[in-house]
Amino acid sequence: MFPAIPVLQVSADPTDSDISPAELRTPELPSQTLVQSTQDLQPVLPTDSTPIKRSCSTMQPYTTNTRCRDTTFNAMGKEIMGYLVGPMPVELFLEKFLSPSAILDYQPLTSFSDGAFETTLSAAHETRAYEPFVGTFTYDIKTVISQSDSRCRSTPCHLLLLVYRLSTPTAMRT
Amino acid sequence: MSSFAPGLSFIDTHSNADMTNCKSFTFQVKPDVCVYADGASPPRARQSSCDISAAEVVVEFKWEPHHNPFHTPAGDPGPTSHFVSETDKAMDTLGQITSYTAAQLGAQYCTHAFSILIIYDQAYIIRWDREGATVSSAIKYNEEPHLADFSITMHKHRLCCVV
Repeated sequence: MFPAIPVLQVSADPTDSDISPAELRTPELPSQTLVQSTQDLQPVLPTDSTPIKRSCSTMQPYTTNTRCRDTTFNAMGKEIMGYLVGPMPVELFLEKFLSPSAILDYQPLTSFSDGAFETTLSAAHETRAYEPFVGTFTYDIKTVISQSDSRCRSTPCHLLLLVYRLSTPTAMRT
Repeated sequence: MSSFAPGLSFIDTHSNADMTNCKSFTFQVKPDVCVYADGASPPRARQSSCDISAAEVVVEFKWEPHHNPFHTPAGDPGPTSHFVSETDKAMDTLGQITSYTAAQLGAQYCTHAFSILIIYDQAYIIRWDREGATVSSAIKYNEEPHLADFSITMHKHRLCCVV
Protein backbone atom coordinates (compact mmCIF):
# COMPACT_ATOMS: atom_id res chain seq x y z
CA MET A 1 0.00 0.00 0.00
CA PHE A 2 2.63 2.54 1.01
CA PRO A 3 5.75 3.22 -1.09
CA ALA A 4 8.93 1.85 0.30
CA ILE A 5 11.01 4.44 2.20
CA PRO A 6 14.71 4.23 1.37
CA VAL A 7 16.78 3.61 4.42
CA LEU A 8 20.11 5.39 4.72
CA GLN A 9 22.77 3.02 5.75
CA VAL A 10 25.20 4.70 8.21
CA SER A 11 28.49 3.09 8.82
CA ALA A 12 29.18 2.43 12.46
CA ASP A 13 32.79 1.59 11.90
CA PRO A 14 34.75 2.83 14.98
CA THR A 15 37.73 3.79 12.80
CA ASP A 16 35.78 6.61 11.11
CA SER A 17 34.61 8.32 14.33
CA ASP A 18 37.81 10.42 14.75
CA ILE A 19 37.45 12.15 11.32
CA SER A 20 35.04 15.05 11.06
CA PRO A 21 32.64 15.23 8.11
CA ALA A 22 34.37 18.43 6.79
CA GLU A 23 37.65 16.68 6.59
CA LEU A 24 35.99 13.92 4.68
CA ARG A 25 34.67 16.35 2.04
CA THR A 26 37.76 18.52 1.70
CA PRO A 27 40.62 16.84 -0.04
CA GLU A 28 43.99 17.53 1.41
CA LEU A 29 45.93 19.91 -0.81
CA PRO A 30 49.60 19.59 -1.37
CA SER A 31 51.61 21.94 0.84
CA GLN A 32 53.27 23.61 -2.16
CA THR A 33 49.91 24.84 -3.51
CA LEU A 34 49.00 26.41 -0.18
CA VAL A 35 52.19 28.41 -0.07
CA GLN A 36 51.61 29.83 -3.54
CA SER A 37 48.06 30.99 -2.79
CA THR A 38 49.19 32.71 0.41
CA GLN A 39 51.73 34.71 -1.57
CA ASP A 40 49.04 35.83 -4.02
CA LEU A 41 46.90 37.25 -1.25
CA GLN A 42 49.58 39.55 0.09
CA PRO A 43 49.12 43.28 -0.82
CA VAL A 44 50.97 44.33 -3.92
CA LEU A 45 52.63 47.72 -3.98
CA PRO A 46 51.83 49.96 -6.99
CA THR A 47 54.21 49.48 -9.83
CA ASP A 48 55.01 51.58 -12.87
CA SER A 49 52.64 49.56 -14.97
CA THR A 50 49.63 50.66 -12.95
CA PRO A 51 47.82 53.42 -14.88
CA ILE A 52 47.20 56.60 -12.92
CA LYS A 53 43.80 58.15 -13.46
CA ARG A 54 44.22 61.79 -14.26
CA SER A 55 40.65 62.97 -14.51
CA CYS A 56 39.33 66.24 -13.17
CA SER A 57 37.97 64.62 -10.03
CA THR A 58 41.41 63.51 -8.93
CA MET A 59 43.28 66.74 -9.56
CA GLN A 60 44.08 67.71 -6.01
CA PRO A 61 40.65 68.77 -4.82
CA TYR A 62 41.97 70.22 -1.56
CA THR A 63 43.81 73.19 -2.88
CA THR A 64 43.12 76.76 -3.92
CA ASN A 65 40.70 77.62 -6.68
CA THR A 66 43.28 79.08 -8.98
CA ARG A 67 46.31 76.85 -8.65
CA CYS A 68 44.86 73.83 -10.42
CA ARG A 69 42.34 75.68 -12.56
CA ASP A 70 44.08 75.15 -15.88
CA THR A 71 45.05 71.56 -15.22
CA THR A 72 41.50 70.77 -14.13
CA PHE A 73 40.05 72.39 -17.23
CA ASN A 74 42.54 70.58 -19.42
CA ALA A 75 41.65 67.23 -17.90
CA MET A 76 37.97 68.01 -18.21
CA GLY A 77 38.40 68.91 -21.87
CA LYS A 78 40.09 65.61 -22.56
CA GLU A 79 37.30 63.77 -20.78
CA ILE A 80 34.47 65.40 -22.73
CA MET A 81 36.25 65.25 -26.08
CA GLY A 82 34.95 61.79 -26.87
CA TYR A 83 31.37 62.79 -26.21
CA LEU A 84 31.09 65.59 -28.76
CA VAL A 85 29.40 65.37 -32.11
CA GLY A 86 29.44 67.94 -34.85
CA PRO A 87 29.79 70.26 -36.53
CA MET A 88 26.09 70.24 -37.26
CA PRO A 89 24.97 72.76 -39.90
CA VAL A 90 23.51 75.62 -37.91
CA GLU A 91 20.27 75.80 -39.90
CA LEU A 92 19.68 72.12 -39.19
CA PHE A 93 20.75 72.61 -35.57
CA LEU A 94 18.17 75.34 -34.98
CA GLU A 95 15.47 73.41 -36.79
CA LYS A 96 16.18 70.23 -34.86
CA PHE A 97 16.59 71.60 -31.34
CA LEU A 98 14.70 74.91 -31.47
CA SER A 99 12.07 74.35 -34.07
CA PRO A 100 9.94 77.47 -34.67
CA SER A 101 6.92 75.24 -35.25
CA ALA A 102 6.85 74.52 -31.51
CA ILE A 103 6.46 78.22 -30.70
CA LEU A 104 2.93 79.51 -30.70
CA ASP A 105 3.52 83.17 -31.49
CA TYR A 106 6.76 82.85 -33.38
CA GLN A 107 7.79 85.91 -35.33
CA PRO A 108 10.87 85.57 -37.48
CA LEU A 109 13.72 87.96 -36.94
CA THR A 110 13.51 90.94 -39.23
CA SER A 111 15.75 93.49 -37.58
CA PHE A 112 19.10 91.82 -38.12
CA SER A 113 21.41 93.69 -40.41
CA ASP A 114 24.86 92.89 -41.61
CA GLY A 115 27.39 94.44 -39.25
CA ALA A 116 25.16 94.36 -36.18
CA PHE A 117 28.10 93.19 -34.06
CA GLU A 118 30.67 95.53 -35.55
CA THR A 119 31.36 97.22 -32.24
CA THR A 120 32.01 93.85 -30.63
CA LEU A 121 34.50 92.87 -33.29
CA SER A 122 36.25 96.21 -33.09
CA ALA A 123 37.35 95.49 -29.52
CA ALA A 124 41.09 95.14 -29.35
CA HIS A 125 41.00 92.82 -26.37
CA GLU A 126 38.59 90.12 -25.31
CA THR A 127 37.60 91.85 -22.09
CA ARG A 128 36.51 94.91 -24.04
CA ALA A 129 34.17 92.88 -26.22
CA TYR A 130 31.73 91.90 -23.48
CA GLU A 131 30.07 95.26 -23.07
CA PRO A 132 29.33 95.94 -26.76
CA PHE A 133 28.17 92.35 -27.17
CA VAL A 134 25.75 92.71 -24.29
CA GLY A 135 24.73 96.10 -25.65
CA THR A 136 23.75 94.60 -28.99
CA PHE A 137 21.07 92.60 -27.23
CA THR A 138 19.93 95.47 -25.05
CA TYR A 139 18.12 98.66 -25.94
CA ASP A 140 18.58 102.09 -24.54
CA ILE A 141 15.62 104.39 -24.71
CA LYS A 142 16.38 108.06 -24.94
CA THR A 143 13.68 110.63 -24.52
CA VAL A 144 14.08 113.93 -26.25
CA ILE A 145 11.79 116.90 -25.94
CA SER A 146 11.77 118.57 -29.28
CA GLN A 147 9.60 121.10 -31.04
CA SER A 148 11.57 121.66 -34.17
CA ASP A 149 12.74 118.25 -35.15
CA SER A 150 12.79 117.67 -38.88
CA ARG A 151 11.16 114.29 -38.39
CA CYS A 152 8.03 115.91 -37.03
CA ARG A 153 7.02 118.17 -39.92
CA SER A 154 3.63 116.67 -40.59
CA THR A 155 2.33 116.69 -37.04
CA PRO A 156 3.34 118.75 -34.07
CA CYS A 157 5.71 116.76 -31.96
CA HIS A 158 6.91 117.54 -28.50
CA LEU A 159 8.12 114.21 -27.29
CA LEU A 160 10.47 112.11 -29.25
CA LEU A 161 11.36 108.62 -28.21
CA LEU A 162 14.58 107.34 -29.63
CA VAL A 163 15.56 103.71 -29.27
CA TYR A 164 19.15 102.70 -29.72
CA ARG A 165 21.02 99.55 -29.11
CA LEU A 166 23.48 100.02 -26.26
CA SER A 167 26.26 99.11 -28.64
CA THR A 168 25.50 102.17 -30.77
CA PRO A 169 28.29 104.72 -30.23
CA THR A 170 27.21 107.87 -28.46
CA ALA A 171 28.31 110.02 -31.37
CA MET A 172 25.83 108.25 -33.63
CA ARG A 173 22.89 108.76 -31.27
CA THR A 174 21.51 111.86 -32.93
CA MET B 1 11.39 97.27 -34.10
CA SER B 2 12.05 93.86 -32.57
CA SER B 3 14.82 93.01 -30.18
CA PHE B 4 17.34 90.28 -30.76
CA ALA B 5 16.58 88.89 -27.33
CA PRO B 6 13.01 89.47 -26.17
CA GLY B 7 12.52 88.34 -22.60
CA LEU B 8 16.22 87.89 -21.96
CA SER B 9 18.84 89.93 -20.15
CA PHE B 10 22.47 89.69 -21.09
CA ILE B 11 24.71 90.40 -18.10
CA ASP B 12 28.47 90.87 -18.18
CA THR B 13 29.72 88.55 -15.43
CA HIS B 14 33.35 88.12 -16.41
CA SER B 15 34.72 89.52 -13.18
CA ASN B 16 32.17 88.06 -10.79
CA ALA B 17 32.29 84.39 -10.00
CA ASP B 18 29.34 82.44 -8.69
CA MET B 19 30.17 82.06 -5.02
CA THR B 20 26.74 80.82 -4.00
CA ASN B 21 26.16 77.68 -6.02
CA CYS B 22 29.73 76.62 -6.71
CA LYS B 23 31.42 76.69 -3.33
CA SER B 24 32.53 73.08 -3.57
CA PHE B 25 34.17 73.48 -6.94
CA THR B 26 37.94 73.49 -7.18
CA PHE B 27 37.76 76.38 -9.63
CA GLN B 28 35.70 79.51 -9.99
CA VAL B 29 32.64 79.45 -12.20
CA LYS B 30 32.90 82.80 -13.91
CA PRO B 31 31.39 82.92 -17.41
CA ASP B 32 32.01 86.04 -19.46
CA VAL B 33 28.33 86.69 -20.10
CA CYS B 34 25.28 85.12 -18.50
CA VAL B 35 21.86 85.26 -20.08
CA TYR B 36 18.90 85.37 -17.70
CA ALA B 37 15.19 85.29 -18.31
CA ASP B 38 13.45 88.54 -17.56
CA GLY B 39 11.29 88.44 -14.49
CA ALA B 40 11.77 84.77 -13.75
CA SER B 41 15.20 84.89 -12.21
CA PRO B 42 16.02 85.23 -8.54
CA PRO B 43 16.90 88.71 -7.31
CA ARG B 44 20.57 87.93 -7.06
CA ALA B 45 20.70 87.32 -10.80
CA ARG B 46 19.90 90.96 -11.38
CA GLN B 47 23.20 91.89 -9.86
CA SER B 48 26.33 91.74 -11.89
CA SER B 49 27.44 88.64 -10.04
CA CYS B 50 27.02 85.30 -11.70
CA ASP B 51 24.14 83.09 -10.64
CA ILE B 52 24.53 79.86 -12.52
CA SER B 53 21.34 78.42 -11.07
CA ALA B 54 19.28 81.07 -12.87
CA ALA B 55 21.26 81.33 -16.10
CA GLU B 56 19.53 80.36 -19.31
CA VAL B 57 22.64 80.44 -21.46
CA VAL B 58 26.31 80.88 -20.70
CA VAL B 59 28.49 82.75 -23.18
CA GLU B 60 32.25 82.34 -23.21
CA PHE B 61 34.59 84.52 -25.25
CA LYS B 62 38.00 83.73 -26.67
CA TRP B 63 39.73 86.29 -28.80
CA GLU B 64 42.66 84.19 -30.00
CA PRO B 65 42.09 81.63 -32.77
CA HIS B 66 44.34 79.05 -31.15
CA HIS B 67 41.90 78.80 -28.25
CA ASN B 68 39.30 77.44 -30.61
CA PRO B 69 38.58 73.80 -29.74
CA PHE B 70 36.65 73.19 -32.94
CA HIS B 71 37.63 73.28 -36.55
CA THR B 72 35.71 72.58 -39.69
CA PRO B 73 36.87 69.36 -41.32
CA ALA B 74 37.96 69.55 -44.91
CA GLY B 75 35.31 68.48 -47.37
CA ASP B 76 31.87 67.46 -46.29
CA PRO B 77 31.71 67.09 -42.51
CA GLY B 78 30.44 63.63 -41.74
CA PRO B 79 29.15 62.29 -38.45
CA THR B 80 32.44 60.58 -37.73
CA SER B 81 34.77 63.32 -38.87
CA HIS B 82 37.20 64.63 -36.31
CA PHE B 83 36.53 68.27 -35.58
CA VAL B 84 38.03 68.77 -32.12
CA SER B 85 41.49 70.27 -31.84
CA GLU B 86 43.67 68.48 -29.33
CA THR B 87 46.07 71.27 -28.48
CA ASP B 88 46.52 72.28 -24.86
CA LYS B 89 44.79 75.63 -25.34
CA ALA B 90 41.89 73.99 -27.13
CA MET B 91 41.51 71.48 -24.31
CA ASP B 92 41.58 74.31 -21.78
CA THR B 93 38.73 76.06 -23.57
CA LEU B 94 36.76 72.86 -23.98
CA GLY B 95 37.16 72.02 -20.32
CA GLN B 96 36.21 75.52 -19.29
CA ILE B 97 32.89 75.54 -21.15
CA THR B 98 32.28 71.99 -19.96
CA SER B 99 32.75 73.03 -16.35
CA TYR B 100 30.33 75.93 -16.69
CA THR B 101 27.67 73.69 -18.17
CA ALA B 102 28.29 71.05 -15.52
CA ALA B 103 27.72 73.71 -12.88
CA GLN B 104 24.59 74.93 -14.65
CA LEU B 105 23.02 71.51 -15.14
CA GLY B 106 23.99 70.58 -11.61
CA ALA B 107 22.06 73.55 -10.24
CA GLN B 108 18.99 73.33 -12.48
CA TYR B 109 16.41 70.67 -13.20
CA CYS B 110 16.93 70.51 -16.95
CA THR B 111 17.46 67.69 -19.40
CA HIS B 112 19.74 69.84 -21.50
CA ALA B 113 21.32 73.25 -21.73
CA PHE B 114 22.70 75.52 -24.41
CA SER B 115 25.89 77.49 -24.32
CA ILE B 116 27.62 79.80 -26.75
CA LEU B 117 31.32 79.89 -27.48
CA ILE B 118 32.60 82.93 -29.32
CA ILE B 119 35.98 82.82 -30.99
CA TYR B 120 36.41 86.40 -32.21
CA ASP B 121 34.18 86.58 -35.28
CA GLN B 122 32.81 83.04 -35.07
CA ALA B 123 30.23 81.65 -32.71
CA TYR B 124 29.32 78.08 -31.88
CA ILE B 125 26.06 77.05 -30.28
CA ILE B 126 26.43 73.93 -28.16
CA ARG B 127 23.64 71.77 -26.84
CA TRP B 128 24.61 69.72 -23.80
CA ASP B 129 22.72 66.73 -22.50
CA ARG B 130 23.42 63.58 -20.52
CA GLU B 131 25.07 61.88 -23.48
CA GLY B 132 27.47 64.64 -24.39
CA ALA B 133 27.18 67.68 -26.58
CA THR B 134 26.19 68.63 -30.10
CA VAL B 135 28.14 71.48 -31.63
CA SER B 136 26.79 73.65 -34.39
CA SER B 137 28.88 74.72 -37.32
CA ALA B 138 30.69 78.03 -37.01
CA ILE B 139 28.50 81.10 -37.29
CA LYS B 140 29.85 84.37 -38.64
CA TYR B 141 27.62 86.19 -36.23
CA ASN B 142 28.29 89.65 -37.60
CA GLU B 143 27.09 88.59 -41.03
CA GLU B 144 24.64 85.79 -40.39
CA PRO B 145 21.45 86.04 -38.31
CA HIS B 146 21.69 82.60 -36.73
CA LEU B 147 22.99 83.77 -33.36
CA ALA B 148 20.26 86.38 -33.15
CA ASP B 149 17.76 83.75 -34.29
CA PHE B 150 18.94 81.49 -31.53
CA SER B 151 18.44 84.11 -28.86
CA ILE B 152 14.89 84.72 -30.05
CA THR B 153 13.79 81.12 -30.35
CA MET B 154 15.64 79.74 -27.35
CA HIS B 155 13.71 81.59 -24.70
CA LYS B 156 10.32 81.22 -26.40
CA HIS B 157 10.98 77.55 -26.96
CA ARG B 158 11.74 77.12 -23.31
CA LEU B 159 8.50 78.83 -22.38
CA CYS B 160 6.44 76.69 -24.75
CA CYS B 161 8.09 73.34 -24.20
CA VAL B 162 8.77 71.36 -21.10
CA VAL B 163 12.48 70.75 -20.96
